[in-house]
Amino acid sequence: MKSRAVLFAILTCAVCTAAEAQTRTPAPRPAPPRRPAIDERLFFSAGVLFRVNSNDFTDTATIRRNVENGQLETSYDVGGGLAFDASGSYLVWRQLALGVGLTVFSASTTTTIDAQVPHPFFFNQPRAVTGEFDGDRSETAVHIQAKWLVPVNTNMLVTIFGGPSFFKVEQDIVDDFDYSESYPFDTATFTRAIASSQSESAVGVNVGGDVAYYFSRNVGVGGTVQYSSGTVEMTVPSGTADVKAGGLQAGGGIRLRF
Amino acid sequence: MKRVMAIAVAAMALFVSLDVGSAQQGSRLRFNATTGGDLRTWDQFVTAQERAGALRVRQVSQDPSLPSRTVERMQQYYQGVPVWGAEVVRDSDRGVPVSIFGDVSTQSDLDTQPGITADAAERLLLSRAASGATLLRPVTLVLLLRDAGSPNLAYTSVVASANQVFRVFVDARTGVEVLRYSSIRKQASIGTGRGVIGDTKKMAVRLQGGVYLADDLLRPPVLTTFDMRNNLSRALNVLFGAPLFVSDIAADSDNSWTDVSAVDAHAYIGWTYDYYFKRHGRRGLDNRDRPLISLINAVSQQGALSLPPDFFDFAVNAFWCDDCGPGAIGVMFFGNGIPPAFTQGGQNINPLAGSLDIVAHELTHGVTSATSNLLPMNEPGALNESFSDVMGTATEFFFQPVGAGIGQADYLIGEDSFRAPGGGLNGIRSLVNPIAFGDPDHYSLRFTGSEDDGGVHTNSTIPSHAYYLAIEGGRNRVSGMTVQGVGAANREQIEKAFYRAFVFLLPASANFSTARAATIQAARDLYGASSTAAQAITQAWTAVGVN
Repeated sequence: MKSRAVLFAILTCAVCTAAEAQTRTPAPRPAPPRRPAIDERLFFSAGVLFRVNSNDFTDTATIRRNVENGQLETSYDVGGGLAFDASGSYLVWRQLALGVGLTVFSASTTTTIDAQVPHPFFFNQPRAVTGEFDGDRSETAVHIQAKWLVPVNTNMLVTIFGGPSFFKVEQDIVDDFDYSESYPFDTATFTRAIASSQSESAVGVNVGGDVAYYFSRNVGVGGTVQYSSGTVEMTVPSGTADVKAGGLQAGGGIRLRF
Repeated sequence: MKRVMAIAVAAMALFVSLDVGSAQQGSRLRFNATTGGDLRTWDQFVTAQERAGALRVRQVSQDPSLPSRTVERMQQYYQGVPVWGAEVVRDSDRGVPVSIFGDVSTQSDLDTQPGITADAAERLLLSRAASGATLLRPVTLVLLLRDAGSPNLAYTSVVASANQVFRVFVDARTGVEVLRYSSIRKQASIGTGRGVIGDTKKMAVRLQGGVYLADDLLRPPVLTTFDMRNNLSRALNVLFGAPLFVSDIAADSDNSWTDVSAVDAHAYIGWTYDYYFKRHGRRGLDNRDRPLISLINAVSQQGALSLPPDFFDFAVNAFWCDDCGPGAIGVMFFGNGIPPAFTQGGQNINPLAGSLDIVAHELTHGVTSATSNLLPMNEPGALNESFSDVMGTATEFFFQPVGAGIGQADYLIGEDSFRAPGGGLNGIRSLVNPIAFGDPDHYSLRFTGSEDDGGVHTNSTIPSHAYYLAIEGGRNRVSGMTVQGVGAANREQIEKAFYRAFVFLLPASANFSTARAATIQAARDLYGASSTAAQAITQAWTAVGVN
């Protein structure tokens, strides 16, 4: 949370600094070369981002089996992957644009299940049960973005942006598991996970930068680095778990301006 | 046409039944096809039956763990009449069969015309139940597949009355009942109970009708503990063959058991079964999971005070009776002891089921009965008792922590039930120091009178002491000979040698000398002629004066 706030502050500061640079009174010396004007009002981007970080999480719950407490540990491996990203913005004042972005991320998640299942006949003789479950994870993030546009020349446009994000996270959560056992019950074998799909929403933040190169008046390509972050609360066997969404993403795609 | 087709299908069934993976039993055909050639043959058979209408898919399901698989469950029909219990299950992966299991009738000349109507059958079914009975299912005409002989044309329904629900079949021509079974499935459950020494242990029980019964559904054999509810006459009748009922089974309403005898008898019999299975690979009394039946609470502790002397054993003793119980099923019995304020021989006597070694001792008598069947008198009888003490002790060491306290593994017999107030001797026999209880620790001191069937309990300590010496080592008090034992960490070797000798090698009339030779031979068989175990056992027998 702290790092997110710091990053946001830095980028906001960068935006402010850039704004300040635009409004500063010119020094009594030869005028610097004029920055190219921004003639367009509408800006669109669409492309693919690669999520660098993983959003793994673990739950450790007490389970009741055979009149004794056991343990169920579920570790969700939510690795990186490709996300679809699109945004649109409108220039509202000088170099300031307001816009909306959308990032959609979807991936398979491998959940490792490590359980200690009490013995039916004896206290304190749990059996280890391990298994895996392949579930799904999807994230849809809508970003409200304030963008500061910095034209480098007529073809190149640098954009710095930030703002709140609204995350919707869908995740397959392992609620329980089945196992097979037979006399003398000294071992038990994982058979399947009992999972449910949960969907939760949360508000977070997003910041980032984009460099676009327009090879015509309206069409170009660009690269983006974006950090977004949100935390949703999901119901897990132990109660609730904080599940992180978003992360550091980088990629590129098409850029349009009108 | 249907009949011709059925005959053709049956002929085909007979043909393919010669293939691997099938078994023709009278008019019944069972097949298990899991490999290429078999699968093709049986798939053709099933498909032909399906087309002929002799098999009809009654359920298609998918196993979520194998999403590409489809399982078809097909019911056999004969001239439009379902053959009860005749099914084929075909598991296919994207249409390609992976396995086919079937059990069908091949009978081709059955008459499917009933002699009585469905209404008459309904009246018959209801008349066989208590008043107020109802049918939970419509009356259906079926061909009932039997293990032997032709399928019966029968009417069936589910009859509910009082607290019972049965599926009943009556012959569709004569109205005679041909089969019934309960529709209520027993539910295994795990309970907890506090035992004689105040420890909490798990109990494998059965939930039925909202009540938990001391009937273990998890271990392979029938393992049921019956509560005689302080009715000695009832206990005697049961021992002499009177039937036992579900209402006799020890019960608890909340599965948190408080009857200490029920808890310990039921749990410890299970533990002893486990010991034999895990240590020796043995399946219970006869290695074929003979039922493990025990009786408790024949006499309350208070009731013991007014027992005639001849019946006092029902309070302060435990026993195995091989020929007792309904159908001579074999029964273990555990007395409840006497009130805590009283002593006998300077000892309090708590419920005997509270001692794991006593429970294992009695169960081992059942093992002996099913194996060497050592005669219950003189030296064979002493060996019989000794083997029970040895296995009782071995079971303690298998499950309990080693120590001299209550609920700990030691070489005393019955120490958790027979407690001497004020620090006296606990238990009834000692394998370490038999003389402490007045029992011989050397052959030269053996009892030679006729009491106790020739001193079977007294003299049992001679071989039992040899067992102890073979494990722990030490010096025999009488001979002065020192034995190099295998050590506690290797006790399994001596347990297995004694088990092999007493279960497999000894004749019924074996004496101590034979037992010596057999246990040494067993150790040699298991661990080699010059093994530490063989040497320890040899030294131990010599030390106790048995050559």
